[in-house]
Amino acid sequence: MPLTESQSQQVLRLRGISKAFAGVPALRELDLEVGPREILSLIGPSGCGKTTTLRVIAGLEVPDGGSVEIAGRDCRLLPPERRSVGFVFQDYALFPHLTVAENVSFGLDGLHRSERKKRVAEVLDLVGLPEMSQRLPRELSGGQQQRVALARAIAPKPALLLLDEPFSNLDPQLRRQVRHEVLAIVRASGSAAVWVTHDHDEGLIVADRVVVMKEGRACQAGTPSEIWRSPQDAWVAGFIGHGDLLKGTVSNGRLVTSLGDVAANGIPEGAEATVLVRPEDVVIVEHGSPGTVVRRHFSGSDNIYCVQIDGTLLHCRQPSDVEIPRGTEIKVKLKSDALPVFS
Amino acid sequence: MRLRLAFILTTLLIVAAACTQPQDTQTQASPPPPGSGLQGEAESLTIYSGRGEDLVGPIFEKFQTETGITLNVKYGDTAELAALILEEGSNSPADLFFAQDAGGLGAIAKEDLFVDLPSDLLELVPEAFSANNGQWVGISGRSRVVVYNTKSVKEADLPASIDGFTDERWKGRVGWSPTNGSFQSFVTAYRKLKGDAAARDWLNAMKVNDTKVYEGNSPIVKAVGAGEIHVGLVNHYYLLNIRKDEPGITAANHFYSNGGPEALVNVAGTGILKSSRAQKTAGELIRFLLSSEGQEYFVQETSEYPLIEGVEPLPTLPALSELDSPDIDLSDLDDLEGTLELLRQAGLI
Amino acid sequence: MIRAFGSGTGELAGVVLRPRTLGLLIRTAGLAVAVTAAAIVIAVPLAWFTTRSDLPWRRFWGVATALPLVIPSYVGGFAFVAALGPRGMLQAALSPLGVERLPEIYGFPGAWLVLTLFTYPYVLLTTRASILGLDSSLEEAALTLGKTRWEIFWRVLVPQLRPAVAAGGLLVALYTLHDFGAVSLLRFDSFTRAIYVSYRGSFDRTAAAILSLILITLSLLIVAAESRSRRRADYHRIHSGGGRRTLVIPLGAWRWAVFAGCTFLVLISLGIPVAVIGYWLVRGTTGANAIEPTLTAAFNTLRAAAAGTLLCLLAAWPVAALSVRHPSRMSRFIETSSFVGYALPGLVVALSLVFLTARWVPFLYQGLALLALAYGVLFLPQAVGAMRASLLQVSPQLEEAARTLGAGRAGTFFKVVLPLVRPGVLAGSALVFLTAMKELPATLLLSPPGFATLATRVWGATNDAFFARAAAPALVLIALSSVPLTFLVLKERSQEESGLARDGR
Repeated sequence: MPLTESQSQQVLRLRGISKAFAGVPALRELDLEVGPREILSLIGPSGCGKTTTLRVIAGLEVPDGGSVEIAGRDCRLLPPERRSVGFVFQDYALFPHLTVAENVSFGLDGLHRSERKKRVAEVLDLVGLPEMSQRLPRELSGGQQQRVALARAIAPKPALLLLDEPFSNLDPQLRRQVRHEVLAIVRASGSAAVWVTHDHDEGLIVADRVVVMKEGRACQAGTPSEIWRSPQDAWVAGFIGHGDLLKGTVSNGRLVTSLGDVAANGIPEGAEATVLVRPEDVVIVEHGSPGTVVRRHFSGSDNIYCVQIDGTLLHCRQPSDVEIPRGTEIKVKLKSDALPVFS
Repeated sequence: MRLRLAFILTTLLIVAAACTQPQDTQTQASPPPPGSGLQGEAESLTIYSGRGEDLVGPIFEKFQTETGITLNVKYGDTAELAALILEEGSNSPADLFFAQDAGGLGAIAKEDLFVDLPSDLLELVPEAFSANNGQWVGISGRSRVVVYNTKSVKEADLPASIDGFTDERWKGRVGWSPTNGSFQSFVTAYRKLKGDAAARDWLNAMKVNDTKVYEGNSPIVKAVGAGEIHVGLVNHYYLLNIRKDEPGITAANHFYSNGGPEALVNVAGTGILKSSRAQKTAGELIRFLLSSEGQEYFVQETSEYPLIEGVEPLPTLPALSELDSPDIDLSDLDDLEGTLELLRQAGLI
Repeated sequence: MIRAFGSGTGELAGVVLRPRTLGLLIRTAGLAVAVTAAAIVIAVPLAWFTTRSDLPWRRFWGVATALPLVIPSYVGGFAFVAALGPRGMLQAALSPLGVERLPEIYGFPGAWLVLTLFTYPYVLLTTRASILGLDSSLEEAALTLGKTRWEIFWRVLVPQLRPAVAAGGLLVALYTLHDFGAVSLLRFDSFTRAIYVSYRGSFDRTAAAILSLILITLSLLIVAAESRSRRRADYHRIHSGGGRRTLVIPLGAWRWAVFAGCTFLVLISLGIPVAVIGYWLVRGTTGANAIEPTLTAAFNTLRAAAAGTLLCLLAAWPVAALSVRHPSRMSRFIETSSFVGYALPGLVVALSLVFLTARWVPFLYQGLALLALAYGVLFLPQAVGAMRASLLQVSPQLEEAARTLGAGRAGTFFKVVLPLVRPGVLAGSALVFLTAMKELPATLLLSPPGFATLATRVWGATNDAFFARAAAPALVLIALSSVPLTFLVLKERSQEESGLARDGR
């Protein structure tokens, strides 16, 4: 293991990183930490600074201010080649003039020839492409190229693995399949990882911890379930998605909405506020708010019904065997009164 | 990064050099050597030759074999080499400049880059064929002639002087080369003898008479031989040399011996550079070129006039003394400014 | 430049405002435009025919139509005058048929014809490379949209080829500006000729300097126009799965017409000069013992051209790298400036170098190094262009990937960038090498004393009208320069083949 420092030390510590391009700030006072073997996902809309963060960590961009520490070393002034990071690029960036094996062994210069061969074989085994070693990158499919890029990045056993939108070039079917494989490989490699994605689902699925970025800042950090359950504000909630934002007014310590009322969580009396309602939080009942089914999304395991109530649209999750024709009048209510509420 | 920066700077410097034009001021040449003697000997000489390798290479070769002195020759166009020497100033690696015409020599002499030649060298040739100030000496002579196509023109029909070609009869039948140094020397002589106004009138009249423009003398002679034009204003030896390749060429030279500019005898000549460290050796080469062996070479190989006594020109040529070259100082032919201005005004260059 | 300004504004105005100068400007610009337009009209369809059509002997024509580039313009000019001039060989051949006069070759038409014939390969080469790099799927898409081949050529191919055509056209236009051989032999009064006359006739360096300045301005305008046309065309080709497919389009009945057109073109552009030189060789009686000096000259030519090419590459790399990787006003300026040397007559560049080195670095002076330096200055744009194009296709991510894998700057350069740009760099070198071999004015002035090259021998012999003696070195020069050019075209072809091979998988 490259981690010679004590295991309790953070693998990555960013403090107050700022970076501007031509006067336009991309990162503002960003702090970030990654622990040993931890997989951190950075999610956020395009242009929020995720990729810049990754490039600053790798040393491909020099930050205007702040400090970068990798495995306990101050890396602010270190060139990329001395930072012990592995980078998986969005377009894979495989060297077109080198074979798969040569690509993978590119970062293994320090090793003895026989060891290098062994490591290449090992890593190609890990990504499941042992028979492709003599192919050129252009002779591989997209998914195979993606796995070679990963193999190349983990071969030198970096302290930290950086993945920049690793699946953006794959079709969704392949993406789901490869995601699990890649995750397993990253876990097996033992490196800590920072995984950048604009796909919030992917970010939540792969990570031990998630950082949501907005306009160059980390606006919320937490475990995937924390982010899912309690988004910090309406923006995060909106970005994570899969929910409807319902407006209401606080009265007697309760937020009153068209679907009933929920705990107001200390929002002052009389204030306007919003509640995040996920499809699974909406149940169909005998007595509740009346609405009309306007659409159905069938996804195999579930049916998501889109219900129109008082001019607002609300989603409601039902098992796949529950079929309700469009136009049916139904009554719904909230399952719980402890839902995320934002002022 | 530093390396890249260095590359960039170098490139910039090169680019800058490419756009920079040299300054006007010449670095001062070292003061003339004391006395009139030539200083310095060497095992090798560097020569800038405005005369082609095919013309003068063999005689240089001969000198090398006879003396064991190595000659490094740079061949080029006389005026370009003169420009080169002017740019090089006192840093010129050349020991000797062998020029096609007196004009190129005059340009160097004017900037005072030649040494004064010792009188024993100057005295080998008639006074008219060396510089008045003794800075260069003629090696071989060439006469202006009119070359004509023997099928289309009878020699007797040629006008009595060059002015006759402005006649309607010759419209479109004459060729000249206004950019050529020999032609320009001829125009300078015209100006010196008859005045600028007359020269301008003649040039304009010739132009109006549809005189065809060629780049150099050989193309004119070839064009005359081919019948493309009937008459050309050139130096005498071009026809003789082209005839070696094309014995059947139907052209002949007409020599004007009327003391006018059309009878001008110019020289190819040489001078020794002040910056040379082998002036004495360079003097030896000049002496060799002016020996009967050297002069005989020019007679046989380039069909030019020998300048020393005791060597005769080709028998087909009229004797040098019969040519009645105009009474003009060849050193004055370096005054090209006025000539070029005239040519420019006439829209010829 | 110092000289031009040092001369005082009075004289500056005097030279600039001379009506003749204006006339020169118009004539020179007119010639550059005409030659470039004609070169494009010839080269673009030809590039397409030799890459995408079922033209018989397509590969052969690919090489043969590029070959006129090896003919030095001073040789080509001579040959054309000898062949097509009044009372030239063609007239002599036609005179039994009663043809007494041919159309005038001297002046604009001749200069136009000769310069077009010997420079169109610049456009041909860049356009061919670009066509071979295109993805046929766009054409296929257009076909499925019901467009005819002709519409596809104009509406799909031509817009994509525009940057390549502009790059080639730029070289043609600048070549036309700096060429002396063809314009002087064909008696076309251009700027370059005026500059030479200024130097030759009067040692009038001030006027020459001012004229050079105007020429620089003109060339910068042309370079700016080209870079404008190119601005949006920069891209990094992503190396992802799947190979290129080359669509071969049947010409049908036109096949043999095109074949005849190619034959005609090669016959006049290559056949005439070679025939005339051959005629000199056979006819001459004075060229018998020219073998040994020709060999020495050939060796010298190769040596000088190799040194110049190397220097040119070293200088071109930072310019290309800067312009591709760090585009900025500064890098654009540097790149633009690099073209100035190419637009200036060799004589002007050579004398500037003499001025600089004779004074400040005398140890360089009159050595081979100086000649190499001159080639570097003169032909920098050709190397920059080729490097730029190949560097554009190397994604900067590849360099970053190498860095994160532990390779330093040098390691990244040698292990990743260099192997990837090598084909482009080789192509650029071949072009520079070939042009350096032909170069005359700077070679004449800057080669060390006693150092004869093929070009100087050809010049020396033709200058003194020893055409037979010029024949052997001229033929050797043409033969030797054909080697890098053939390499250039064949290398292109092998790329094409590897593309096909990938498709076969």
